Amino acid sequence: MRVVILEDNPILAEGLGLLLGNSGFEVAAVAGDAAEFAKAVAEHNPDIAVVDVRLPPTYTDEGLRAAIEARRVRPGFPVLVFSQYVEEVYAAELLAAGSEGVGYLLKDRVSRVDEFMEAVRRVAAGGTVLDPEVVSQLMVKRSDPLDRLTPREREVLALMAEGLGNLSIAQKLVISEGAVHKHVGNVFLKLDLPPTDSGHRRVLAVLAHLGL
Amino acid sequence: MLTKILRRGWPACKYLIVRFFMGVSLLAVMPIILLFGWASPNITSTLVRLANREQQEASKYLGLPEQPALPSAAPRRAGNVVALFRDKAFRRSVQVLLMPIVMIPELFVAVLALAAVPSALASMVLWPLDPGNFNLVAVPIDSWWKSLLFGPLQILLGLGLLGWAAPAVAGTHARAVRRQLAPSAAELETARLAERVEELTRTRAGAVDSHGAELRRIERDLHDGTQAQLVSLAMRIGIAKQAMAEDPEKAAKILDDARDGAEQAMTELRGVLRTMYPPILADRGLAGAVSALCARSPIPVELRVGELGAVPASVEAAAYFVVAESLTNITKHSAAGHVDVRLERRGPELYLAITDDGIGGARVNEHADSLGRGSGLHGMVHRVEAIDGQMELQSPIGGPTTVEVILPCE
Repeated sequence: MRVVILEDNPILAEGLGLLLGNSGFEVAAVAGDAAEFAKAVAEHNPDIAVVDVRLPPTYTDEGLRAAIEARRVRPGFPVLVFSQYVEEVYAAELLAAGSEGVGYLLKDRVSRVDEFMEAVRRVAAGGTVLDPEVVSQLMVKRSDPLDRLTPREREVLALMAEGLGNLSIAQKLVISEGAVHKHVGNVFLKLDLPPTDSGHRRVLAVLAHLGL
Repeated sequence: MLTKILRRGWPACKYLIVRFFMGVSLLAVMPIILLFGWASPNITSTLVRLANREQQEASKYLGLPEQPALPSAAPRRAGNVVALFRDKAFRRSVQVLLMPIVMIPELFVAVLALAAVPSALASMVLWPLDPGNFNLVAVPIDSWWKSLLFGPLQILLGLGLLGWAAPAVAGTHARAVRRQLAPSAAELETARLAERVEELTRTRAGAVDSHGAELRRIERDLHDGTQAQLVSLAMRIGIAKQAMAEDPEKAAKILDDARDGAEQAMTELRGVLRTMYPPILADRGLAGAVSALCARSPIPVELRVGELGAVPASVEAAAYFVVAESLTNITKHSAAGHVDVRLERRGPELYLAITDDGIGGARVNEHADSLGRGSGLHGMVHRVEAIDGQMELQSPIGGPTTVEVILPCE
């Protein structure tokens, strides 16, 4: 799989390239700003882009805007936004034009290489990945209806919102896939959500319920 | 007619005579003033003050509003004569105080104006006592016809002096004093700037103090948290490398710990950065950042943001902190169903008000009470006062609760 990186910090760009290269990705280009990035995406036609939020010249949210723009030009183009900090409003803006192939993660997450690479692959395959911190911001906001859930069900809900499938949830919580299935059923029942399969539509339903 | 003349003449003569005697007595001490004035800056500033009083008297006599005072003598070191004589305020006060020298003719007019009529009346009656030695209009009087001719003439002349000449002279004098002592536009500007510098020096000292306290807090946080974490991280990696050959399993375990430590350090560092200057403020400005906060609140928030203009970064950070902390408090403790947040510019200040319809009873405590309340408000007060702002809390039992904050922006 071919990837374009948008990251102005050479240390992080190099580390990210090393990490992706070691996991079987081909780094097609590393861009330092939004204009370079747009050119690189058009030229190399990558399978996914990994994008930092803060970039020159203003060091505010250029990366976010570059990601949204890239997805406007090529609808469904997988983008993983990778940031020093996360804000719920940024997640909402990123997902506004469709959540397929969108990821939003803290840079901290690279320390768990397996999980990080799994997230990159999920985004490249058209899935949604949300950082646990965004999800916890969302869960605080919706604390009222979520009171009806047991602690375990809340954990399952959070992992669903992060974009994980049943198998990954089971591994993460160290329980059987059958148990996950049961919890998921309960969550949907208690929140009055229409039952959906474990695919992308489920993530959408959960995020919609959380108000994103 | 007569009272009108008196009403015009008397103040004019009084003004001239009093000014003259004031001037003469000052003239008498002038050598002393100059003798010591070069040595003591206090004496020169006294001189400038006296000149300003002279100007006030002139304005009072003319019935005009007072002019702005001369700026006080520029500060100088004792004995610095060059600075003294370069000081325009000082030079001009000396000129005005030397005025009595040219005032002698004016004084003559005033005395004549006052004395002419009484002396004419007296001479007209008393001349037979010593014929030839009483004068009317400078003519020796030795017969009644002279007395009756020149007496009224002198009375008329005296009234003329009193009613017209003296007021004219006094007015000219007062206007000259005012003109002499009116500070030039440049001088006024210099004085205004000097005052502004003084004020800025004072406020800046306060700002530097609170800035220093903030820097120390950040230094402590980074030193005790992040830096210590990184040291421990480096140690663990070193130990893991040593253990790798003999006990790979142990090395892997230590590396896991190291990774946990790195994650913790990143989280803590993010926390420190957030308290310094929340990143979203840099990205979206105060209005955007506060609206993101309100969107995140579980309780519905109605946010009204006015035109904010340019707001210093420290004020933005404090305002953001107050809103964030208030919304956290409200969510945790107030049982409110609705929150109002208002943010607007009021002249040189930023005004912020957060009102909730909850149960009230909020208090500012240094330490949290048994329900975990109060310390958040204390932190807010601290943060607001650090940048010279004011915070007011109104929270009667039963609610509603309002936090009002005013932060200076200039």
